[in-house]
Amino acid sequence: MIVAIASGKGGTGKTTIAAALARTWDAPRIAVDMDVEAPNLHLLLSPTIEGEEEATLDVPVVVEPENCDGCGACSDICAFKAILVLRGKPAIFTELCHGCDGCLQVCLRGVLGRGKRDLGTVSWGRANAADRASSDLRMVSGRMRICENTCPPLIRHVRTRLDAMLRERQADVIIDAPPGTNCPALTALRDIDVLLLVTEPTPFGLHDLDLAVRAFQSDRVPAAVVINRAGLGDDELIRAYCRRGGLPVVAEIPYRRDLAERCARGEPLEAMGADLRERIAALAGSVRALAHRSVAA
Amino acid sequence: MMPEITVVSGKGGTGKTSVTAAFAKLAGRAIVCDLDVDAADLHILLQPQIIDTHDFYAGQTAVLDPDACTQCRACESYCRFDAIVATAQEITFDPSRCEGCGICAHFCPFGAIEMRPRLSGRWFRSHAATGAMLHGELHPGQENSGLLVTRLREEAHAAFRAGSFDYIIADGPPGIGCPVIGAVTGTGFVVAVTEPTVSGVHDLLRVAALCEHFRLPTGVVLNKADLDLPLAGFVETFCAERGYPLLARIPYLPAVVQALTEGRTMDEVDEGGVADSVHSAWETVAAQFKSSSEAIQQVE
Repeated sequence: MIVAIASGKGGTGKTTIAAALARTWDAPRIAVDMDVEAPNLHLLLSPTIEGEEEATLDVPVVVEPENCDGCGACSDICAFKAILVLRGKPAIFTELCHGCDGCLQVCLRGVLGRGKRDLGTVSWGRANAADRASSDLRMVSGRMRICENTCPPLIRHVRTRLDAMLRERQADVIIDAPPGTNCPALTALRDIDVLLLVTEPTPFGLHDLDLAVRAFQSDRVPAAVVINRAGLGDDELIRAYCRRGGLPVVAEIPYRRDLAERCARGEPLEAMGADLRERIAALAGSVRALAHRSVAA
Repeated sequence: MMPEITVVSGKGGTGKTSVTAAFAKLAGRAIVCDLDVDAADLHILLQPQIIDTHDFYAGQTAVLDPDACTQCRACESYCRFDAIVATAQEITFDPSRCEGCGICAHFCPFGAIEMRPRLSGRWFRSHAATGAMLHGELHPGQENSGLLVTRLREEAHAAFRAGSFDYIIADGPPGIGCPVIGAVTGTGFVVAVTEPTVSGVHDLLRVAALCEHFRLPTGVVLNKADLDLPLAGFVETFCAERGYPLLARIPYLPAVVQALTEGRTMDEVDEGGVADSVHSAWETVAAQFKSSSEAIQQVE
């Protein structure tokens, strides 16, 4: 079972909820940080890193400049303006390359070869669970290189690593997705079973929840909503929206100053009293029930 | 240098939009841009009237002509993005995976694939109570947010040169990737809004590294400043060591959220000295441009 925690708006509490679910989940699980631009899940799960790899994208490099006759085919085929032919020789702007391989395919003189662009790192390891008896909590996360432009290729690397870990040992998966409603978030939400959308009861929260619902809604993947900071604004706005759209509200995390302070320090949400522990447990139950619907469909 | 101020944060939800809206009100004659085209929220606070709407095309997408296709599957072997799925019965193109490179169309032996311009979103020229406003929205699932950001900034720069404005004030996207790089490259001053949380501080360091790479003058707003004093102290020390002006310390008060819910901006919240903090932050930002224009005058 793969559950992804997403939201249109940033800062609604995705990572806090993902960490609490991951720590308390009562079966082997892997927590995955796919918010590679601003990865924060490791701050809450403090994993022991067991492995790390550089993630790269295949990009062209000039290997045999003497062979170039300046025909310009490589530049003509590039839709991303990543190659210019200057004074009869190709100049490659690696940062603009999407890795489509077109230039390598059309160069008949062997001028270009395959090089790598560094996208960032993928690391994995083991984290501490809330309950010692169920300590099978693994983690994998991506971390984009500063100044790298495009994050979906790195998210795909994280997914590849996740799939390898699942082949090694079966587990449930809890994904912390990037904010927004476009390519990074959609890449993270590919091939999932349950979607949890975290929102807050403010006009921003409602507006971006609606964007997320419109972008992500699918007949295949059951979705549900978590209202974080309930009581801070007008909760009924969110509840009414969810009722209209047939979206179950599966948890409400109350707004309290002391909770906000403890979350700021990175303390586990489920450790902030019996009430919260129960709410997280009930949320986990709802996620399982939704996953069952997904499998049944 | 264009007197352009871009508000970013790394982590989402630290208060970028709230700070931008307050600056827009305090700046007088300003063009306001919402560059968070993935989840644009500034219009909720500024309630603009849209003057005109423009379709935004970016890149291309591959479209298959099933009548010309012979199912040879050459396209599938060339696509590096898994956008072409061939089964025994049919070949389908997944537009959400297609990056528009056009390699499939180039190599299709039967000319069955056409590259068409991709309608990626819309952008708007509007009028808000604060003055001119430019904003946009990407259609769900589109890439190219960086290109729409760049387009909005080009429009803002053109409007600035044509009109009598003093500033451009832009609400940036979260993160540090393509749309953020598009939003900050060449801007006049970056305002990084952070909060004293472990995630807020972690992501401030990443966005600061990006600003340093591009050599952008940067200041920091510490929002929710009283949420955790040791982390707030860390941010203050970090700013002092790097030479970033600490523009404001804004307390964490439900009254601020309440005001935003009612459509009021931070500069109107008197509780806890919020309005005063935001005013003095704006004075410091505006002074960056005054001092640079005075310096230029002295040189001339």
